[in-house]
Amino acid sequence: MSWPVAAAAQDATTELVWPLPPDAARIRYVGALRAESDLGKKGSFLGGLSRAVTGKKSDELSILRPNDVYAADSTRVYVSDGAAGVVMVFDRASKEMRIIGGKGGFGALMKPMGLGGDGRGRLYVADQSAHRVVMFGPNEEFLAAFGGPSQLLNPVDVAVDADADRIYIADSYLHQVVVYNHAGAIVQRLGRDVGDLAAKRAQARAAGDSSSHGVQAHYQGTSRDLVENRGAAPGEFRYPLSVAVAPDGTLYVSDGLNFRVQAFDREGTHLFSVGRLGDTPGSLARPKGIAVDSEGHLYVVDAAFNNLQMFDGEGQLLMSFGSVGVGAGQLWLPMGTHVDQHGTIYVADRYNDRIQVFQYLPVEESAADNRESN
Amino acid sequence: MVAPRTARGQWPNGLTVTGTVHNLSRTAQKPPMDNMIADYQEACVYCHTPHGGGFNGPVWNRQTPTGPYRMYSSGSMDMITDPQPSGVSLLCLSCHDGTIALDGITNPPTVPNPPSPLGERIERCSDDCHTGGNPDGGLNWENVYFDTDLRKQHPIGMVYDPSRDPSFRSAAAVQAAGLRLFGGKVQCATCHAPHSQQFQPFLRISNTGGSICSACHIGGPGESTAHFW
Amino acid sequence: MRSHLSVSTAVALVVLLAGVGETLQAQAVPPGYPNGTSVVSTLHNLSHFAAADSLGAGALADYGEVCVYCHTPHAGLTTAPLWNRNMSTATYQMYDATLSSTIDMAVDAQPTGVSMACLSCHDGTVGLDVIINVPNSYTGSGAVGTTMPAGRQTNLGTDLRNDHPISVTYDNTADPAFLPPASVTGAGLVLYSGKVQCGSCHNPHTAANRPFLRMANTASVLCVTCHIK
Repeated sequence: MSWPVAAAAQDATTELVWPLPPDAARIRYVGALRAESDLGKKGSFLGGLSRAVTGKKSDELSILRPNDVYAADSTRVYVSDGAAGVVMVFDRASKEMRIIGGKGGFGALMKPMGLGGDGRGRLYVADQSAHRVVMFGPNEEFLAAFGGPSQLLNPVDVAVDADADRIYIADSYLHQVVVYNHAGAIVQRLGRDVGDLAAKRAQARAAGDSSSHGVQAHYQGTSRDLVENRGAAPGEFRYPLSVAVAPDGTLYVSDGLNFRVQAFDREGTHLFSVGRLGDTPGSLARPKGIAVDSEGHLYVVDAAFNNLQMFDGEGQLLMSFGSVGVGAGQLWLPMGTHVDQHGTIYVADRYNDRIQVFQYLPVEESAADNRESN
Repeated sequence: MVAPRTARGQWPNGLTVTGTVHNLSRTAQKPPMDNMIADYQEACVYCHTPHGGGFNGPVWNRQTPTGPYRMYSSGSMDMITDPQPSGVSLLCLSCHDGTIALDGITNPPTVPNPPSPLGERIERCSDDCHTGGNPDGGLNWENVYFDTDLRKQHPIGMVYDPSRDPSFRSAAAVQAAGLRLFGGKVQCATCHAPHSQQFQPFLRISNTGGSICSACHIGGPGESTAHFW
Repeated sequence: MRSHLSVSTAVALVVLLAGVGETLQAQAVPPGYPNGTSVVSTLHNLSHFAAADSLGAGALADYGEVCVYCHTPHAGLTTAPLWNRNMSTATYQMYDATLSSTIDMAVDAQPTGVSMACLSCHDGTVGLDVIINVPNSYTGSGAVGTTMPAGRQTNLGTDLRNDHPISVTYDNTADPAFLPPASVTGAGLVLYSGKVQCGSCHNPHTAANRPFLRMANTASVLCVTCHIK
């Protein structure tokens, strides 16, 4: 089935594009996913635009609070819903929604956060409260899990480099990216490694918490992360929040409270960093989810600016799109993002309880559109 | 019916919950309850928590009891009743059915180093001291511990529908009298106000002369019930 | 070929240490925070670091900025985007921009105002997620009688009622169970343009009343500053 990538139906004067004319359009707004009815019979996301305004039907399955989004192929969009405690599947082929990780099964999820995939049909879900990453197969069946409470403190995102057999898990309280292989063994750690996870867990238990990130330690004023692992040097992290793998194997890490995105090669060698603290283009104030498209462009969601900024493979700022609001093309404290192989950009618009969908317009196509519209 | 309170150990009661027995922190400070209920030093936290509560109630800080319950049934009852308790009644039953500890809460209070729950259930209250025959225990609390057998209690979980039984007033009249319906259903909190002892025991309106009964039931003084039977 | 862009601390900030006399210095593995009245001694001091730093003393200067994690400084230098040369190089719009919600309700449909600054970190990734806690995360030690949850509740489709509402226009004429706004602010809580936000109860700079409360909640006095219960 075809996506409305080059949908000719949209009038150039009413479509939402960035940048605004006379610059060539690079990003176009497509629509929103909120509930099962957004899948629609016509298969058009324009139905989602009306949903964004009128709201969903009360009895249908709908997104409560999306943390991250992943699109395995054109037909299935996965949404990690931390409030519902499940991963929701928008199936564009069957025009229905399903649930992965509901309670009662082996792959039951507690608090799903980041999503990742290996391009071979498997979905990886970072389950924050279960301290593990759960892997589901092409038929959405539970396969295996990585980590566990003795290894992970706060897994918030996962990305996979299948060619190199590396599963990257961002743990924002370990301040590390823990690298696993397919067998579940830890093969590398990125970031400082001087903290004592076992001692932190024992401290939490002594405080009366049943889990190592419980409320009781918080009320006592003890830190829930391994403070000793925080770092500002290249290769160190302060709350790594998201990971993404580029087509060439470059690993990008959204280094939240260092206000930067770091790039590593497949061996874990730091290559360069993007962004700095500030409020101007090229700055990052609340970098959250990141994604890389097939041309190597880096997309960084910023929850303070409520936009996405695009960088090229050398860290140069290309443009930004999105702004704060509830309407089309607007975001409210966005979180995770993903770009599929067709250049369709999905953004978990967390407090608008929806997925915002945009389309990257390759240079040739947008140049042709520009010529035709003259 | 509940006997009037004796003078010893009288609670302030009144309009706010802090002066009532639903303020378990106050209760937990008084011997011998200090060995039965943990004092969290906050009144609200035994039921409410501002962040991360359950979905089952308003910023709710307790687990939902699972029962199963035996429900009231009667051949003369015409309204449709839930097969098990639902909604706000489950919040009351989380203490009053005796399956969950009075100080068993989900999230801790904000005070530093709060105590761990002591784990006593409500049947301890009515079994040991508040039996009516104990001069120190004041009134008889047999009626505040329901167990999971609700057959002897006023029914709950009914869809209030006077069209099914003409011996009941309209829903509008019920609510005008000061009672509440929840999704159109009769629940514990239809008659009870959990935060106020203005009308003991925790009633929404006075029951003098059976006025809370006749807010719903037709059959008060001067009202003929002959043609309903 | 890749260019190396290093992190630059663009603006030198003067860190105001509010008279507490604490200085930022290398510390051993911290067992806990002092939790005093200065933000430097609270969990919101996100630059807290360990003594051993392989980069030496010079790099420690990067840790000297406590305020920037929430108060984004204006970046003096800016980058012109390659694909959008017509883009204004002015600042991005951030939380303090006034937003008019298109939905005419007493509760904003989205968190507004200062609450957005809090929720940008308090979503579970950096700070405690204020939307969901795992139920029964508090069991205490030796908790007798507390029930364990059967499984994660997934009430799909229901409204989220498990956290205290924010972005609510405080109006005690709409609900008489609340005290007047003057009484609320007079007691020490804050209303932002008449609305309840995270900062109404919390002061992110002081942890004297954990967790970051504007007043201690012993005996639930913070709750009853607004609620008449």
